[in-house]
Amino acid sequence: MLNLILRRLMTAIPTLLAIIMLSFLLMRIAPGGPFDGERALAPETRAALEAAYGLDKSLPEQVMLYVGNVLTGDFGPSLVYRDFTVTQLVAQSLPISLLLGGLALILASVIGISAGLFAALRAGKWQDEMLMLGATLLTALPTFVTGPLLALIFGLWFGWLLVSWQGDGIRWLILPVIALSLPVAGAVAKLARAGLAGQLGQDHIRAARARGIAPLTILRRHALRPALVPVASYLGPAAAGLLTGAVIIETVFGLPGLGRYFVQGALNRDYPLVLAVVTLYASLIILFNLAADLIYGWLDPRMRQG
Amino acid sequence: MRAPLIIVAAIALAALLGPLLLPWDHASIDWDSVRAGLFADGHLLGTDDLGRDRLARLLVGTRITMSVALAAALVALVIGVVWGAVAGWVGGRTDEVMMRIVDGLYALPFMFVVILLMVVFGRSIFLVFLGIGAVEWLTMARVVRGEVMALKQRPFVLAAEAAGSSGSRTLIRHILPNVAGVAVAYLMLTVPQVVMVESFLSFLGLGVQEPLTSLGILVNEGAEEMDVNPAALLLPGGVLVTVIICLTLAGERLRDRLTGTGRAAESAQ
Amino acid sequence: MSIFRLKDFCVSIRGKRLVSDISLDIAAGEIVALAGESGSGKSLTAMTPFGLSAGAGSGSAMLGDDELVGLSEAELARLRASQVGFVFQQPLTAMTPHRSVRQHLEEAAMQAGGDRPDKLAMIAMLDQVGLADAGGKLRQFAHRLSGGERQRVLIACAIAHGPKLLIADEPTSALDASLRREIMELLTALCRTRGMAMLLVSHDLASIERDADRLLLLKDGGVEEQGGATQIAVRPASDCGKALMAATPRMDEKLVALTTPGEVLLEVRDIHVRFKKPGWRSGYLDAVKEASLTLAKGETLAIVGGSGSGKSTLGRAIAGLGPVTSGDVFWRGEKLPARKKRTLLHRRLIQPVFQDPAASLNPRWRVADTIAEPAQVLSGQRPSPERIAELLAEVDLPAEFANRRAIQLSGGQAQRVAISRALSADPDMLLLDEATSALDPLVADGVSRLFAKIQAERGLSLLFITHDLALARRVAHRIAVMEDGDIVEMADRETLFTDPQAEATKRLIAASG
Repeated sequence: MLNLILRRLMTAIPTLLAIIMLSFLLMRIAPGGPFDGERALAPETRAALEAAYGLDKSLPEQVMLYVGNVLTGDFGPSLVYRDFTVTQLVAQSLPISLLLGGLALILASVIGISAGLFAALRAGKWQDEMLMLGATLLTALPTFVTGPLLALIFGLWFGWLLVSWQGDGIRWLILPVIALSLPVAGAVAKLARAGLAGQLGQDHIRAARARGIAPLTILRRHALRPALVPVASYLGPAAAGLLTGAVIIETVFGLPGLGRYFVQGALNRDYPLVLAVVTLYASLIILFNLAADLIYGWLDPRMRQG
Repeated sequence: MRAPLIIVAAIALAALLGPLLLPWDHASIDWDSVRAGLFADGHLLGTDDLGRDRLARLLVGTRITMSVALAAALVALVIGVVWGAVAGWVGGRTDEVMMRIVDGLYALPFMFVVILLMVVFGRSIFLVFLGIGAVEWLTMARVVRGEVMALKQRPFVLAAEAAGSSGSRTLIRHILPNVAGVAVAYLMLTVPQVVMVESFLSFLGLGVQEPLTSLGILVNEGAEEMDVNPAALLLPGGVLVTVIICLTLAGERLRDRLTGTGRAAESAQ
Repeated sequence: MSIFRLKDFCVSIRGKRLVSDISLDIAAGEIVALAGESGSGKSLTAMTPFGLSAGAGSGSAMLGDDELVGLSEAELARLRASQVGFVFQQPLTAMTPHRSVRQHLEEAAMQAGGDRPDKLAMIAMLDQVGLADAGGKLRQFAHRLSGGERQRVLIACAIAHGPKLLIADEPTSALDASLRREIMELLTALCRTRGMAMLLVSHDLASIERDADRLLLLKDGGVEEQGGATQIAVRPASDCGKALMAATPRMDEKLVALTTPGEVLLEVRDIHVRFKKPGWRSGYLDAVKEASLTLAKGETLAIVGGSGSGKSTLGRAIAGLGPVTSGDVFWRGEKLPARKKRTLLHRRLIQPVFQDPAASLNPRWRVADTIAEPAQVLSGQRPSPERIAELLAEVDLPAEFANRRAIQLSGGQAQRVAISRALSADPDMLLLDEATSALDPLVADGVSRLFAKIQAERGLSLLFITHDLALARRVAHRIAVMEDGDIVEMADRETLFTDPQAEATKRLIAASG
C-alpha cells in the first residue's frame, strides 16, 4: 500500500512539472501579451514593465525562474490586478470555490449513490427506467442552462432563495450548490446502478443467497463495496474539477470564486494567475486520483497489488 | 434507439433548411419591430432587443452548434481510433508510452485547456472545433485500444495469422470492423459532449463570435432577459438539451448493446 | 429416512415448461446424481425447489417434512440457511472478493443462528476439507487462493452449519483434472461420515459411476433413464444413455486401432518460452522449459497436462503463433523461421483449431468468407463456391451454412467451421488446442471422430493438446505429459498406462481413473 503511494508520487511530480512548463510555454508563445492594451504604451514604459515582470529574459530562463518560484509557493504578482499577488487572489477566492464544490460533491454523491442503488435493486422495472432517464436528463442539462433556470424559477418567480452573492453566509450558496451537483448526481447514479447491477449478477451473490442471507445484508456485506468502484474512479477527477471552481456557476450566480478569476485571467493574459490555477488544478487531480486508488484497494482487495 | 435519433435528425433538418424559408437572416435588423412579441409582424418567435428575428437566430444557432459539434467529434474519432488502434495493436513499449500520454492529457484540466487554446489561438470557429476535437479524443482512444487489445487475444485473430494474413491486413479486415460499432457509439456520445463544450465556450464569449450565433450565445442572451421574457432562455436551452439527451440516450443504448453492459443487469434478475 | 424428495416435479420459465415430472428420493448419507447434456434441465431441477433459479416449480418437493413448492422467498431462505448447503461450479467467482476466508466461514457458521466460531473452530473446519496451512489461510482473500483451495473453502462454508442436504452443481468441472478426483472424494467422504444427503449435478459420467449411488439421466427436461449409477454406466438401457457412455472416454476401455504413421515431419528441439511476470515486481516465468518432440506424418501426438503446465504455450510456439525464447522447429529437416518471418509457404503447413468455438470465428464474417480466407491469402485466389461447399461437406455441414454468421451457429457447428477453415489452407498438420473441451460430450465425441476421419483421408499429423488423459488415450498414438513447463514423460499410449515413469503421470492416471 505504501509502495503504491510512493510509486504514484514518483510519477506525479514529473507530470506536475511538465504540466506547469507546458502551460507556461503555451501562454508565452501565444500572440498578444498583457500590455497590448487599447492604447499603445511608450516603448520605454513597455520595456520597464517587461523587465519588472521578468518578461525580457529568454524563454528557458523564464520557465526555470517560474518553476523555482512556484516550488517556494510564490506565484508572482498578478499582471492585471496590480495591487495583488497571485497567491493573495487565490487565497481569497479558493475558499469560496472549495465550499461550493465540496457541498456540491457531497450532495451529488448522496443523491446519486442512493438513486443508483435503488434503481439497481429494481433493475428492469419502471422505477429503474424512470430514475435512469432522469439521470440521463441531469447529465445532459448544461449548468449554464440549469443555473439561470433555477435562478429564474426559485429566485424570481417564487422569491424563495437569494440568487446573487452578497458575501454574508452560506444561504447564498444553496442554489449554486444544487445547480452544480445535478449533472454530477446524474453521472454518479448511472455508475452506481451499473456497478451494483453488475455485482448482483455475480456468482458470489448467488452463493450468499444460497446460504439464506437476508437480501439487505447481502447488499451491504457482499455487493456494495465492489459496486462502488466505478463511482470512485469517476469522482476522483470530478472532485478536482468541482473544487477548483465551477466557472459557469460562479459566473451565473456572481460568486467571486477561482473559476471566474481563471476566465478573467485567461482573457486578460494574466499569465501568473492562469498558471497558478492550472498548477493547483493539476495537483488536485493527481491527489484525488491517488485517493481514488487507495479507495479502490479498500473497495476491492484484488486491486491492492498495483 | 430509433426515436431519439429521429428527433435529432428532425432538428438538424430544420436547422439546415429552416433559414432558407424565412425572409430574415440571423443578423439582419428589422428596425420597425424591435423587441416584438410572438407572431408580431410575421416574426413567429418575435425579435430581440436589436430587432433580429428570434426564430432565424435559433435555427442558425442550432445549425452552427451542431455542425461544430459534428466536425469536432469527427476529429476526435479519427485521432482516437488511429491512436487507440495503433497502441492496442502494436502493444508493448509503444502501447505503454502512447497510453501514458493519454493518461497525462487526462490529468490536464480539460476545460482550462480548451479555454487556453481558445485564448492562445484566437477565436476562429475553425479553431473552436479543432481545439475541442483535439481534447475530446482521449476517451475514444482508450475505448478503441481496450477493444483492440481484447480482440487481439481472440482465437480468430490467431487463426488469421496462421492463414498467413499480414498484420496490417488482419488489423483492417478483422479488428477494425469489430471496433466500428463501439466507435460509432462513442461518436454519438462525443457529439453531445462537444455540444456542451461549444455552448459553454460561446457562453463565456470565447467560442463563436458575433454576428454568427450559437445555442450557447442564445442561452447567454436569454439568461440576461429571462425575468421579462423566459422564452428567450427556454427555447434555445430546450433545443440544446433535447439534442444532448437524444444523442446520449441513443449512444448509450448502442454502447450497452455492443459491450453487453445491459445484459449483465438483465441476467441479474 | 428420506431427506429430500421430488415427486412429479416440473419447472417452467415464463410459462414454458423446461423440466417435467421428475421424481427422486435421497436418504441420509446417500448420493443421487443428475446427469445430462447442457440444456437437459439438470441444474434447473436441482436449484428451482430452493428458489435459486429463474424458474417456477410445481408438483412436490419435500425437504424433510417441509413442502418447498409454494413457499415464499423468505421461508425458502430460512430453510436454505438452516438445512441445506450449496457448492457451485465456479470456485473462482463464488467467493466475495473483498471478504476474507475467515469472514466467509463466520457468516456460514452463523447463518443458521449459531454462535460466532472462534479461531480454533474455524481452523478445524478448514482442516476437515483438507486445506493446508489453515491458520494462515484464514486472513486471505479469494484472489490469493488457487482454484482448488477456493473450492475447499466453499465446501467448508457449505457444511459449516451442519446441513442435512448438500446440493453440488458441477462442483469439479471448473477445476483442473488432477484436482477433480480429490474434491469428489472429499465430498463423498463428508456425506458418508456425516450422514448428509447429496444431490450431485454433473455431466461427467465416469465420475458419477464411482461417486453416486443412483443416477437420473435427463434429456430435454425429462428423465431418460434412472437406476443404480454403476448399472447405468456399465449397461445403459436408453439410446441417450448408450450414446453418452460411448462418447465418454474411459481409462479402461478397449483401445481402437489408429492409422499407421509415416516418416517424421516435425521435429522440435529445446523450445524454451520465458515470460516476464506482469506487474512492476519483475521476474520471469518459464512457461515451457527446453521441450523437444517429434511428429510423424499421419500421427497423433497428445500433449496432456493441467492448466498452467505450458501445453498451449508449447503448441503455439511450434505453430509460430506465440513467443519463443530459444530453440528450433524443423519441418522435414528444414528449420522453420521465427514467428514474424514465416512465409506463406511455411504458414500453410500448420493450421490451428482452438478451444472456444464462439471466439474462433470473426463475428462479422459469413462462414463462406471465414472458410475462404486461408486459401485466399495463401494462394492469392478466392476459392469457388463449389470448393467452399466441398470444405463444408468435409466437416459434415450442409452447403447452406456458407451464408450464416457466427452467432447463427451452435458450439459444435462453429467448431466444425473452424476445422473447415483450417483445412482450406490444405495443411500437413493441425494444432488442436483443447479443440473439444468446451463442447458437450456427444458433440465433442462427434468432433473428435471427425478429426480421425480427416486424418485418415488426408494423412494429417495432429498435435492434440488436452487436459483429458482418457481422451488422449483414445485418440493419440503417443502421449506427452507436461507439468510446470517440462515434458516429464513421453511414450506410446499402451506403455504410458501400463508402465508410467514420472510422478506427474502416475498422479494424472490416478486422478482420471
